[in-house]
Amino acid sequence: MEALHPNVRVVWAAVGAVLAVALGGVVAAADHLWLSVGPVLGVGVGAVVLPGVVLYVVALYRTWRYEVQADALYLERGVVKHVETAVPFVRIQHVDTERGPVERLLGLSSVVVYTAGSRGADVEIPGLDPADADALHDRLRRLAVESEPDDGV
Amino acid sequence: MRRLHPLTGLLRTGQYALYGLSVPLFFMGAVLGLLGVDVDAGLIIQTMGLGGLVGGAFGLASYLRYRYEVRAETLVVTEGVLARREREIPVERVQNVDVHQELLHRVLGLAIVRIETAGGTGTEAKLNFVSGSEAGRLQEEIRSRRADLAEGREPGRDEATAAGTPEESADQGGGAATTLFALTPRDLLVYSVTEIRPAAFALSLLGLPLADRVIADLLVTLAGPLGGPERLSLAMTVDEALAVALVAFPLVLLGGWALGAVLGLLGYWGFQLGRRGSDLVYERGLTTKYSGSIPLSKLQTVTVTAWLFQRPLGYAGLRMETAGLGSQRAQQDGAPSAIPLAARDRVWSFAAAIEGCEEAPEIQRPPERARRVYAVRYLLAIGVVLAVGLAYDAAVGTFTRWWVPALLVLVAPLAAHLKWTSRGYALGDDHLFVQRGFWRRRTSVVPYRRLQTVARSRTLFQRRLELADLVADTASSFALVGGGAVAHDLPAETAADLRDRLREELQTSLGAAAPARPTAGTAEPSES
Repeated sequence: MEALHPNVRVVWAAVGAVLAVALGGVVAAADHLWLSVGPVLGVGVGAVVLPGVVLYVVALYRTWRYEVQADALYLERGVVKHVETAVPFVRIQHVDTERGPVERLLGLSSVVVYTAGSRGADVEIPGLDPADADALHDRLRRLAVESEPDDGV
Repeated sequence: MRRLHPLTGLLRTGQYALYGLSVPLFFMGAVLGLLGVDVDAGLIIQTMGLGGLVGGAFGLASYLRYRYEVRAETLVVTEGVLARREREIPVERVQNVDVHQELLHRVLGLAIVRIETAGGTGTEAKLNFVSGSEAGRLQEEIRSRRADLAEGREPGRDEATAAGTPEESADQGGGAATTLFALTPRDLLVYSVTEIRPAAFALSLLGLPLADRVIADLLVTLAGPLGGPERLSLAMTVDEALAVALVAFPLVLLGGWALGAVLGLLGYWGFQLGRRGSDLVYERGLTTKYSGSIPLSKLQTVTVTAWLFQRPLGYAGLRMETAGLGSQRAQQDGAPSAIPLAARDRVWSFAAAIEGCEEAPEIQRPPERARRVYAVRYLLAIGVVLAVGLAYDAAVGTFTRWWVPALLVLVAPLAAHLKWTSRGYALGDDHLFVQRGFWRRRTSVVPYRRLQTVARSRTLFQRRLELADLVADTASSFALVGGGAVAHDLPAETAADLRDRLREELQTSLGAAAPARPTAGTAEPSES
């Protein structure tokens, strides 16, 4: 089982921090309009949420594992709801490599695997070293094309 | 290339002319009027005339530009006035061909044909309108072309040979449908009154505020003894609103049930299921007629459904799930498509004949600790509602009966027990059976060979009690709307074993059906 690149925590934390600041801003605005408690409220909410985000990111990173197994790509992740998914190679429709702006800044890449199953279940492996991501992408693609049975779609 | 029915041209011209002339009316009349800009009435009328002409011309052009044709291996549709599009749909990839005729369409001899594939987020091609006979011809032609391709027969390469194809396949078991199932009038009646239609309840609820004075007076009279208001208004206190809600609730239920029964009666009038080659074909409906095809080769999952009131009568229904989005729209509220209602044994033997699965397997329930979890969950939810009510009363003071939801505590254990008895799973030789739902019990039959991904998930609470959900995902379009096959609250160990077992079963079933692929160890070339 392989872990993600440690830097992915920075990506997640950055996203979380933006959300925390935005939430603080919304609370501050609501306070300004209706409650008039003072700017302390918005700052306080932000200050409470931010460490929560950090803790969550650390915990999430610890739960993330993936492995290319004999017949399937296997992933485990989730803090509140822990999900272990097996994506059989024969079911892979296509594979994408993605690099968002923050990921590029930190030298990371994501691999996204699509199946014909319920559309929400497409799986993403974030936080990979770009070279690893490309290797994984190629490997999954090779394994996927080896057989192409009819799955009725 | 064929055009749509000529009446379509007329209807579209009229429709777009109406759009065209309403834009100036809305913009110049309403918006500028509100802004206080004075506009000359004559100018508005002139612009409306111009808009109507442009709109009408656009409508006519859109009709003239729309052409379609069934070719050897594809259905081709070209359309668009300004942005033009040519779409080719491989016939092999067509999931469903649904035909839909409202009452007015039938008077005019028109029909809407929807062609569904697994891709995309909507209907792949919607032909509105074609003539009723053309709709039937399209259904039949797509079906026979697909059958030809599946059997490796050379499909007609040009018009001359293509014209011969339908008769040829008719000899080979295509042609006329053999009837497999027809809904008897008695069963139609039972179906209409026992099938619950959530949409009908929503309509009934929405209709309540619009209801006649008589109903409003009735509500006030009935709610009186419970501390209801003098009259219905938004200024009611929460106590009064609660009293009204308590008497309105059975009324809404009754209204929704009656409305649902009428919808069921109209929608499933004359239901017939037949077989044509390798497709199931159905037709139903009194005022609005529906007909459609379900290719058996594309079946992802079949689900036996039974509403609460159907179970003691020994009835059930059968739903066919494909990857086409239409299969779920054509069956509003997830109503069964293949058999609306029949004796439970008959439904299961039908499912077994189609899927090759066991009949009525022995369902394994979740462990008993799951039942305690459900009870605790219900009690917690009631607690939250009580806390909110109490807090509201403390703050505003008009909700003295905040304790009313506490009465639900009495039924919580029963509810937990019923939920527990509704859930479970079973393993067959080639299928996974997953059962869930108390009001509408659904037993899904998932062939191992149709599995897409397999997942085990555990929430924080499930982990403490060593329970887990097992998700057996297929390409069925029902999985998108929460109808996926999920076995809830198995022992965590069992779920892990099942997850591994399903993976193996998928590989085994594919190995038997498809050319053998190299075993995993050798399939992994060294990375470089």
